[in-house]
Amino acid sequence: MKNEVYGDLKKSPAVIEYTFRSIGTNGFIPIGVRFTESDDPGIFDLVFGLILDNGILNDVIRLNNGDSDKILATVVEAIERFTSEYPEKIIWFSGSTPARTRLYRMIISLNLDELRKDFEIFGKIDHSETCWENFEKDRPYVDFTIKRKIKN
Amino acid sequence: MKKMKKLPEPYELVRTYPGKVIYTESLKRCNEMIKRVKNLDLIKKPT
Repeated sequence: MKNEVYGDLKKSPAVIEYTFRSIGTNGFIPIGVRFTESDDPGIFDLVFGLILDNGILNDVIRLNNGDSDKILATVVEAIERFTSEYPEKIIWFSGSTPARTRLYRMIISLNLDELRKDFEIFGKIDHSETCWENFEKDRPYVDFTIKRKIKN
Repeated sequence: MKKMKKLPEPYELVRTYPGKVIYTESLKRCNEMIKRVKNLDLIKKPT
């Protein structure tokens, strides 16, 4: 049986990227913040890094452009835009290096009260078969998810 | 989202649609997580 369906469903593309130019001590560096649909269409993987000529993002390179905080602020802005457009999607991310993971944990912890007004945030304490839990300060999370709260 | 503590103003963003999915290490780990984690329902529950 073939049912009629509404035609206004909004399908997200499999990949959405926001780009910007880091401006610092080494000049202009092209950076990409990429959201890629995972095997579960409700969950998007987030990576950011240097845009290479073949379109791949190098997410482990240390840019040393003297503007790491501004880059991080821009990644946060990209999350804000993505989740505004696709509020039902969950963003998964994990530091590509231990230093990045610690940085993400610190930024979330510092802003947890503010973030919780608009987002649900979860953490997982290792990469293997453990469980997600509500993000709490001072827990050694290595994986993170963030999802916008739907407000009626 | 209000301005995050300890973070400056962001750069201007330009949105693009690369189209093609590139299977990065991060995406592989995300897919592994989906297969192996025990309580995916916690993060997927409606808000």
